[in-house]
Amino acid sequence: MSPYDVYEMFRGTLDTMGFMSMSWQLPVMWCIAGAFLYLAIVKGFEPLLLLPIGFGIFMVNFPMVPLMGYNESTGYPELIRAFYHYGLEWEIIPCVIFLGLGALTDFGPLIANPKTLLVGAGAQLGVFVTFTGCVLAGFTLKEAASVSIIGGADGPTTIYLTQALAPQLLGANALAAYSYMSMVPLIQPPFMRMMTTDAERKIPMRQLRAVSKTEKILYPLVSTLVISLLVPAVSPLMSMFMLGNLMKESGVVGRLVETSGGALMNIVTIFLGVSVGCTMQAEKFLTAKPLFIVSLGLIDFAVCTMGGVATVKLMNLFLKEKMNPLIGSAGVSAVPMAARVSHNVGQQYDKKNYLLMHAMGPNLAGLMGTAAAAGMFIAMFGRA
Amino acid sequence: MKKLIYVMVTLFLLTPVVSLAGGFLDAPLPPGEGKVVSRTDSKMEMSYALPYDQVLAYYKSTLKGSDYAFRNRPNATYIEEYTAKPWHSILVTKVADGSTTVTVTKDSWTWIVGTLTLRFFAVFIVLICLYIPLSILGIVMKRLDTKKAALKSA
Repeated sequence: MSPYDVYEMFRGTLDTMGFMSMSWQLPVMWCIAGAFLYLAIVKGFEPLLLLPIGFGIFMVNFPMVPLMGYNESTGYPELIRAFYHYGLEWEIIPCVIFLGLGALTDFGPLIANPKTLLVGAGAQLGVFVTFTGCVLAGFTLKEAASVSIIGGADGPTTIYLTQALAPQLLGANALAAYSYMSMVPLIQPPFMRMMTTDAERKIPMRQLRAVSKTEKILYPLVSTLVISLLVPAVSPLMSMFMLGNLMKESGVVGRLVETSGGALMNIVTIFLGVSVGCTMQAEKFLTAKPLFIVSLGLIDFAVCTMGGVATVKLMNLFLKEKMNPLIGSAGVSAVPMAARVSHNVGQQYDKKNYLLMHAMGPNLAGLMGTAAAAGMFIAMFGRA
Repeated sequence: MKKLIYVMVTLFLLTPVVSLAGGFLDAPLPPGEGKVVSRTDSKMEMSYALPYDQVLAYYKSTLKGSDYAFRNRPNATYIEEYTAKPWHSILVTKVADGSTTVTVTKDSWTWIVGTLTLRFFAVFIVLICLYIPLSILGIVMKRLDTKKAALKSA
């Protein structure tokens, strides 16, 4: 063996090592991943999603890792690409998550006070305002639609819409959505106080009526009928949501409810988080757009909060029995955190005012409103 | 020499047609002689002595991809674009005499804001459509419960 051969051997070995192809963007992405892992583990912000997303960002930002590409010899997708393709591109994961969510949701507060559906609609104001802002900022119409839905604070709907209209923004949108959802207790209260007077915050609300089992069983059927007829584009998402809810309310398929709300949801959450995190490769994420999305998301949340509160105040002009406007902020459908925020803020002004169950109505209505808004956008722009 | 003159005159006459191709808001226009029917800063209508199917095939081959939507209408196709181009839509209409008109419309905030406002209120309509049956259901269940309670006490 000549010295040249030995040199070539070492060179060949070094060429297969990732550190030889390092770039400055990769450590930056490691720091970003670290920040999300810190939020998830230390601060406890949405750990179920931010932990796999954060780790997904970390593990994909290494040179030459066979995760998000296609095998050169077989042409098959690599590990995370397979999760992404079958779970997200085929839009299975968001729908299965909604199945699980439906199995965990009690629509009683919404059924008992159905006028809170209008609050859920009003809380979508930020979605449409942010859309305008995104277009002004240079996003295409489809990108603007996918970014603006972040304000609906509904992770699966954000992912569903983004995958349909602007899949290149999936990572940034999902990250912004879940990050801001976890920060709802920080973001919302200042805007809630700004929009309401002392007297309004103390408005008492009568206890909700009891909701019968029949109503709870009929609700998913009625919702599916209305949504599928009016906004068919979002029917896959909402139908799975209502299926989960019907299974829960029927009381006859306990095993299915336990699985869909438990193990199944946990499985798809892992795949979702890792897949979304792995879409955030340095060359795609470290550009102006994803960073802009994060700041737009904050404005979106704020305007949605204000939209919900304003809707309640508007409704109060026509209602004999006034609603406490603080529940309007729960139209931002971070279930159940936004409802808890409404309750906590209300408690600061009147300890006897229990707003949690009243706020659950707009909270759940917000889910329906965000889905309707997403369906409108898909109908407007078709699919990517 | 005569041939050269013919070629140069033909090229000179074709120049307006060529310059019109993409000349209005960078919108693609079918090859061939088009007659400008009307033109403003925000809209231009051109008439082509070409069959409708041929013009439509041209646009389908030129405007490929998910950034363009082709919506069928009676005797017309409405093409919308969703990127940041200066033009917003192209309407290709079949005319009774076998010709085709192409109408290019400028991108405008009026369309964006108008459609957004409409969609925002449409969300309310969807949820009102859900609110009505829920309210009726609530009233029916309340009456049934009152009847049951009355029967029990009787």
